[in-house]
Amino acid sequence: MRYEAPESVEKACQLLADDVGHARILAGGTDLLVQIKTDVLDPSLLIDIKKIQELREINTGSGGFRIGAAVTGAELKEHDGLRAAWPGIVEAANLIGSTQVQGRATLGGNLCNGSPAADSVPALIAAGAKVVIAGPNGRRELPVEDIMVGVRKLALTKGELIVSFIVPPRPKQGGDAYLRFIPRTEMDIAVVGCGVSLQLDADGTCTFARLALGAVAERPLLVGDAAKALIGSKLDAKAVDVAAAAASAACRPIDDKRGTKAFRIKVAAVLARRTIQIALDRAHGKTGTTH
Amino acid sequence: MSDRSVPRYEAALKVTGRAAYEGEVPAVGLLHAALVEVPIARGDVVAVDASEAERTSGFATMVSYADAEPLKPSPATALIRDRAVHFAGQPVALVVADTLSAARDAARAVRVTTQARPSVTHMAQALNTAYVPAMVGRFPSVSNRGDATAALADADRVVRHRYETAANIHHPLEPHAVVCWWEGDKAVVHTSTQAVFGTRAMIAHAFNMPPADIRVISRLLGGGFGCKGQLWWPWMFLAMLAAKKTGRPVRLELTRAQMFRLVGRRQETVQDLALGFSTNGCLTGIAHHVTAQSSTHAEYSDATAVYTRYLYACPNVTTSHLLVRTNEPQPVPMRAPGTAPGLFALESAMDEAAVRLGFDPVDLRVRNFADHDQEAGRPWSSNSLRDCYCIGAERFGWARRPAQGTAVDGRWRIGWGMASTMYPAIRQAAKVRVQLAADGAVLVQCGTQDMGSGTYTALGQITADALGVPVDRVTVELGDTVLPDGPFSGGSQVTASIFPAAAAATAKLRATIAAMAIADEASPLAGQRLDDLEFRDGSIRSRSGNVGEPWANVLARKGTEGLEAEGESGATQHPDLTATSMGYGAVFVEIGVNAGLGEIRVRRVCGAFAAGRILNPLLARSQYVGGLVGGIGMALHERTETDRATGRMLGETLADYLIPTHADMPEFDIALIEEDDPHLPGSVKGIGMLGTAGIQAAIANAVFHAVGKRVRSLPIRIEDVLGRR
Ligand SMILES: Cc1cc2nc3c(=O)[nH]c(=O)nc-3n(C[C@H](O)[C@H](O)[C@H](O)COP(=O)(O)OP(=O)(O)OC[C@H]3O[C@@H](n4cnc5c(N)ncnc54)[C@H](O)[C@@H]3O)c2cc1C
Repeated sequence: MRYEAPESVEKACQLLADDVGHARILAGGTDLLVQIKTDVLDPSLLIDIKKIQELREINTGSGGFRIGAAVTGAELKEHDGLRAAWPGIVEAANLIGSTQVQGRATLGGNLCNGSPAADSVPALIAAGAKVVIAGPNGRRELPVEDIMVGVRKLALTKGELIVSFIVPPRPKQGGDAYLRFIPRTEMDIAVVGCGVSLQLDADGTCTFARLALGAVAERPLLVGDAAKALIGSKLDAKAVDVAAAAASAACRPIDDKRGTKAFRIKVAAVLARRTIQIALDRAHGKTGTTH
Repeated sequence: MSDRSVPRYEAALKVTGRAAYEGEVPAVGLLHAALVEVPIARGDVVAVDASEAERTSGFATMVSYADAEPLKPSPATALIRDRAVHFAGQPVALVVADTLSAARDAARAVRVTTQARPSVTHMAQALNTAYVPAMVGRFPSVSNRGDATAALADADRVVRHRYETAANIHHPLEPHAVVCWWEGDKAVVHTSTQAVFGTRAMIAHAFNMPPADIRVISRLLGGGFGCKGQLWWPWMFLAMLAAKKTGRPVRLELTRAQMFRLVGRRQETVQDLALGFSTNGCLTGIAHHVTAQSSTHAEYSDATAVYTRYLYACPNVTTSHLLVRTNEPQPVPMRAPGTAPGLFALESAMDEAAVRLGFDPVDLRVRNFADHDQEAGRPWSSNSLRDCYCIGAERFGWARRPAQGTAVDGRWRIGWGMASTMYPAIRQAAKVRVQLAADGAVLVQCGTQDMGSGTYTALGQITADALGVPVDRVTVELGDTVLPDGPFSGGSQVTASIFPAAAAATAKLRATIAAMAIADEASPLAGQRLDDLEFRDGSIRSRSGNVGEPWANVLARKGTEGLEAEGESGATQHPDLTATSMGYGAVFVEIGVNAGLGEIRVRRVCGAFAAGRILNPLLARSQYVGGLVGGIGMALHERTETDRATGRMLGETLADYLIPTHADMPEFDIALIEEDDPHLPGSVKGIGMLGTAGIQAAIANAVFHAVGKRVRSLPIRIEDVLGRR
C-alpha cells in the first residue's frame, strides 16, 4: 500500500486519476482505517488530503460558509459563526463518535463513506448545502442530496474528490435542527436521522422548509412532501402531522438488528415532529433544545 | 471511606500506561501469527495448501492439523487435530511471518479445500436432538423436590411463561494473546489466561511433557469474564507448535472479530418457568426447564435453573436442563453463569406473580424467603437476603413507588423494578508464600492471576493486615506457575481461596517472630507471654505490658536474611458441608421509557449486597458496579446472532455488538451489608458474580411498571416496548 500526502487539490486529483489500482482518499480515517483493518477494503494507494490547506478551512464570504471537506467535527464546533447560523449541522457533525473520533472525523468523509446513516448528511441536505467537486476536468457543484446514490455508491467519477461544502447564509427567521435515534446514549449508528431547516415570515408563516431523513433508505432522502406540508402553514399541529406522515411515507427501510422496518417508519414520524419543533423554536430565536 | 478502601495495587501502572500485558512481552526474533479460517459451518477440511502463501514476503511457516496430529487427543486439542469443521470461521491453520501484516497476507493466501455438509445454525432447527447433559457445572442437570406437577395443578394461582436470553460475548478489552518460545524441551508461555496452572496442565497433557518444564505467565489481564479459559488453548497450542517448528518465539493475538467465535459465549437459553402460589402468596410449586445451545465439538451447560432450587422456600420444585448442539461457537461460563439468565426468568416471573396476586414485589419475596437450604436440607452458613431487601428498599425509596403506569418525567414514562440475586460461595485449594526481609519488607506470592478484579490488592491487604504493616510495605507477585499453586480466576472464589492460605502463612511468621522476640534477651519483649503479643504498625507489641519493638529489629538482631513461610488451604468439600454458603443481593432500578421512541434508559440503580466480610469496600463497590453494568448490557443491548444461511456471526465488531456506554450509566448506590459467617474462613465470600445477575429482571420489571409491557426476551428490544415487531 502506497501513501501520498499531496499539498494541492490538483495533485490529489492527478494521483486519483492516474492510479490503476484501488486508490482511496484518506481524510480522518475513522471509516477508512476501520474498513482496511477489517479487510473490507484493501486500497493500493492512500491519498491523504489533510495537507491541502483549502480543504482544512472554513471561509465565511458573502454571508454563507465554505467548509473544507477535511474540516473535523471538533473544528466545526469551535466555529462560533457556523454554530450560530447552522446549529443543526454542527450538532449533527458532533454526534459522530466520541471526543476522540471528533478530532479526526470530517464532513467529507462522512458523506463519501457512503453510509445512508451518516449523521451530518441529512442536516446538510436540509440546509440546502452544495458540494464543490474537483476532478481532472476542473470543478463542478452538486447539491449534497445528489452525491450519494446508493449504499457506498457516489456520483463522483474517476479522479474526483470533494473539496468543500457551500452552506448558504442562515435565512432571516430561519432555524435548523438534526435529531437521530439510537438505542443507547452515544456512539452508535443512527436507526433514523432527521434534519430540518425552516424559514418563517414576519407573521410566522413558513416560507421555506426542507426535511431530510437518514438511515431509512439506501441513501439519505430529501422529503419534498414534508416540505410542501409545512410551507404556507403556521406550523400548526395539523401541518406538522401531515409532514410527519410524509416522512414516514418516504421511508423504504430495511429490517436489521438495529431496528425493524415498522419501527423505523414510526420513528421517522416522531423524529420529524421533534426536529421541526426544535427548528421552529430556533427560527423564533429561542435557544436550548428539548430532545 | 473506610481505611480498608485501599486503591488498586497496580493502579498507577495502569493509568500511566506502563502496565505490561503478556501479549506485549518483547522477544528477540519474534514471529507474528495469523489464523486461517474456513467459511463453512460444517464439513471437513480436504486440504490446506500453503504453496502460494510460502511465496509471500516474510512468510516463515504454517502449522495445521498435520502438525497438531502428534498432540494427545483431548477436548482442548480436538479442534486442531481433527479435520472436522464445527462452525463457520473455525481456524484450520496458523501462519507465522516476520510482521503481523505479512502473517495476515500469508494467511489469506493459504488455499483451503473443504467438503461442506448440512449444518444446524440455530437451536430451533434441532430441538428433536435435545438431550440432558450429565451435569450442569457441579450440579445435577435434573432435580425433583416434592411433586411440582401436582402442586402446580393444585395451586390457587399459576404464573407460567417462556423466557429467552440471547447469546452474549464476553469481550474483555484485552483480546487473547500469547507470546511463547521453547528453550530446548522447555516451554515459556506468556498468555492472557484466567488459569495459569490449568493452562500448564493442558500443555503438559497435549505435548506430553512434565509440568515442571512449562512456565505459564499471566501477570496482568485486561479482563476475562470467563472466556480466558479452555477455548483459547487450541489456538495457543498452534502458536506453540509454530514456535517449535521455527525455533523462534511466536506471538498470536486474536482480532476482535475472532473474539466473537473462538473463545466462548454466554449460551442462548429458552426457559419454561411455572410458579404456583396459594392465595396468601406462598410458593407451592416451581417448574423451571431450560433448553440451551452447545456446540458440536464440546459440551457446556450453564446451571441456569439450579438457583431456582435454592432462592425461595417451596416444597415442590422440579428443574431440568437440555442442550441442543448447533454449528455455532461453543458456550463457556460468562460472568454470573447460570444466575444471569436463570434469575432473569425466575425474578421476572416473581414480578408477574406479585402483580397477579396483588402483592408488593418485595413483600412477596420476603414472604417466600428460604430460611434454610431446602434442596440439600441443611442450614445456610449465613444468609442476609432479607437485609438486602430491606436496606435496598429503604435506600431506593421503594415505599414511595408510584402506581404502575402513572409516573412521567417530560417525555419519559418512569418505572421501578427490583429483583434478587445470589451466587454460591466456594473455595479452591491455594498456597501462599510470604517472605519477610530483615529490613521489614514483605513479599507475598501466589501463582493465581488477577483478572483485573483486584487480586493483587486483596492479597497485599490481607498480608499487610495480618502482619500489622502498611500495605505499601508489601510487594505482591502473582500470575506465574513458578509461584505457589493458586486457583483459577472464576466462580468468584479467588479471594476466599487465598485468604486462608495467606492467613496460615502469616500466622506461622508471626509465631516465629514472637518466639524469637520472647527468647531474645536484647528484646524489650523478652519473657513476655506469647498470647499477649500483637502485630501492629510494623511492630510486635505486648497488649498488657505496653512494650514492643519493630519486628524487623527482631530479625535484624538475629542476623537472619529474613523469614519465609507457606500457607495452604483446601477446596470446599461439597459432600461434607454442614451448611450451604451463598452471597445475596437485591437490586432496585428506575428506568425511563421514551414515550414516542420506546428507548429505555436506566436512570438509577441501588444494589444491596450481602457477601460475607468485605475486605476492601472500594474494590467491592467497583466489582458490583462493573457487574451491574454488564447486567444492563445483557438486559438492553447484548446479542450476537448467527446468519441462518451461512452460520457466520452477524456483525463481528463492537459497532454491531452493542454494550452500554459511559453516557448510558445511571447513578449507582451500592449498599455493602457485612456478614459474620462462622463456617467460612475470615467470613469471606465471593462478590464478583452477584452484580451481574438480577438486574436484567429488575429492568424488565421496571419496563412493565412504566408502560405495562411484559418483555420476556433479552435483550429487551425497543420494538417489544412499543408493541410492534
Ligand atoms: C467509534 C466510531 C464512531 C462513529 N460514530 C459515528 C456516528 O455516530 N455517526 C456517523 O455518521 N458516523 C460515525 N462514525 C463513522 C465516521 O467517523 C464518520 O463517517 C466520519 O465522518 C468519517 O470521516 P473521516 O474523515 O474519518 O473519513 P475517512 O475514513 O477518512 O474516509 C471515509 C471515506 O470517504 C472517502 N473520502 C474522505 N474524504 C473524501 C473527499 N474529500 N472526497 C472524496 N472522498 C473522500 C474516503 O476515501 C473513504 O472512503 C464513527 C466511526 C467510529 C470509528
